[in-house]
Amino acid sequence: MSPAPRASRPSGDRRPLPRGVRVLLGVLGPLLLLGGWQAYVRLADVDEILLPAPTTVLTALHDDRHLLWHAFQRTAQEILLGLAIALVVGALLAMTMHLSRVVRALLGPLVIGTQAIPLPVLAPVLVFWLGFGLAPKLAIVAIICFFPVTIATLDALERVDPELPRLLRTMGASRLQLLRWVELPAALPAALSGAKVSVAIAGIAAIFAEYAGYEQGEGGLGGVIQTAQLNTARAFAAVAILAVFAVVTTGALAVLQRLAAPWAHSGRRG
Amino acid sequence: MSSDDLPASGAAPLVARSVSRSLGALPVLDGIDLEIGPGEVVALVGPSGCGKSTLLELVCGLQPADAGTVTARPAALMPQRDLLLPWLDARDNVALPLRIAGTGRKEARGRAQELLDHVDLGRFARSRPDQLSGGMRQRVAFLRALATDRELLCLDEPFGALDAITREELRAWLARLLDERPRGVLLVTHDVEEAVLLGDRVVVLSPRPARVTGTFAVEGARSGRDVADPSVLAARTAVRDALHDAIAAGRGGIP
Repeated sequence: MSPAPRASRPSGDRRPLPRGVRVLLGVLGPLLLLGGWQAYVRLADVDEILLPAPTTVLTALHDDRHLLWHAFQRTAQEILLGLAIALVVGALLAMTMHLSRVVRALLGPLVIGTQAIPLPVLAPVLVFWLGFGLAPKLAIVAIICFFPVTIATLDALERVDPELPRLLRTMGASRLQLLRWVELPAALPAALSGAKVSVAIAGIAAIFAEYAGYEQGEGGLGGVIQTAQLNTARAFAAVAILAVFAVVTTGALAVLQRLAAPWAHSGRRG
Repeated sequence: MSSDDLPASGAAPLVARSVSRSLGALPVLDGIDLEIGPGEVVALVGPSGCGKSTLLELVCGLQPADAGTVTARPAALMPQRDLLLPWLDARDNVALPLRIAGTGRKEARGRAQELLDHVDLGRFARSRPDQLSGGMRQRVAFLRALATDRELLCLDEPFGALDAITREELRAWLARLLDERPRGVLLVTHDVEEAVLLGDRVVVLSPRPARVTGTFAVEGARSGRDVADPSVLAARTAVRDALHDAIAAGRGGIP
């Protein structure tokens, strides 16, 4: 294991750490946690049905790899498709609310209200409506995830410099042209930021959806957790996969954001 | 009282007759007469808050007049802050008004590149605004106004946000460019020196509600002018005196 980097900079220096150091620290954090966890389970002689040691989870990851891989594919599909739906619906919703004050007044309270619905209430209703297939899972993930996207997008649209629409009007721009040249580009990085916030809760939503609409053999990681019973290590293995997947998805979204909206990420000068 | 009556081509790009405008109960413009000939640069100076910006918006068709007539060719506006779109590079920012007018992407970019090349900014064509200095951004913003071939440019304190040295540099740059590609220009400024260095005529406004209190001609080609020229000095003194008189009159005649 590498030593921690020396603190050679004055405090309050907000320059980003070098990439290598950042990655190293990102790995070091979880490793420290796992080390402490391992020591605690071993030294305190904890019952592994309650809390398995990381090495036991690792063994489960290996032993159940076929089952877990199959389940992961299903859950990943639910998370990614659900997020994609949330991104599109959330951004479109924000656009519509931005363009029409009537729609905004009509849907504003409703949008916030949806976030107060507890999943255990929502999930069975959706399963009842949409059946046990993929559809209710995607609906649940999307309902939970669109909110940060809508709020971030709406916020970005509100923050568009009011002078810009005026300037474009002197050029003879139509409402549609204003949307294409000013509002859509302003909203894009914000919508992706919102989706980044949604990634972690997307995993929770997907697991819950799988609990509520459990299908034999197609229950995803939620199904694995639900049916693990006394095999706690297997449930933890499923959780570990979810956590890693959340980190990777967030990273991928950050990369997408850089590619799609490079202007939002460079430092200013002059 | 409309701002979209188009005068015939070759006529004065801007003719304003007895224009008045109130914002709510507040009278802002009071019977303004203003005319800009083809290729003529008219500088508008007045105390701050006198209604210069309102007049500019009327000319650009962003506000209607309450009384009087504004007959203006469609104007290209260059705002005080550059207002470049951060997601477009310099070339696409210059090309924006062309795209909005319906020109295809390729042709619009070609013409924008030409303009950038003409002022030796060609190598910055692919730089985004956040990669450019303030002076550079302001140049790009001016080229954007120039790109449309509109016969009337409205410059709203175009150098107001720049430091003194950059402002001087840009003033010379703009003078040269306006001599090369003459347009009717309405230059709103509170800087008397800038007005007499760039304007063919300088129009002085009174404090709100704005009236025209004097018009001063400045002789000679713009690009050759220097603050030390006797004619420029004379015009500057005259404009400054007129401005002070207008402000004093606005305070109730106390000089």
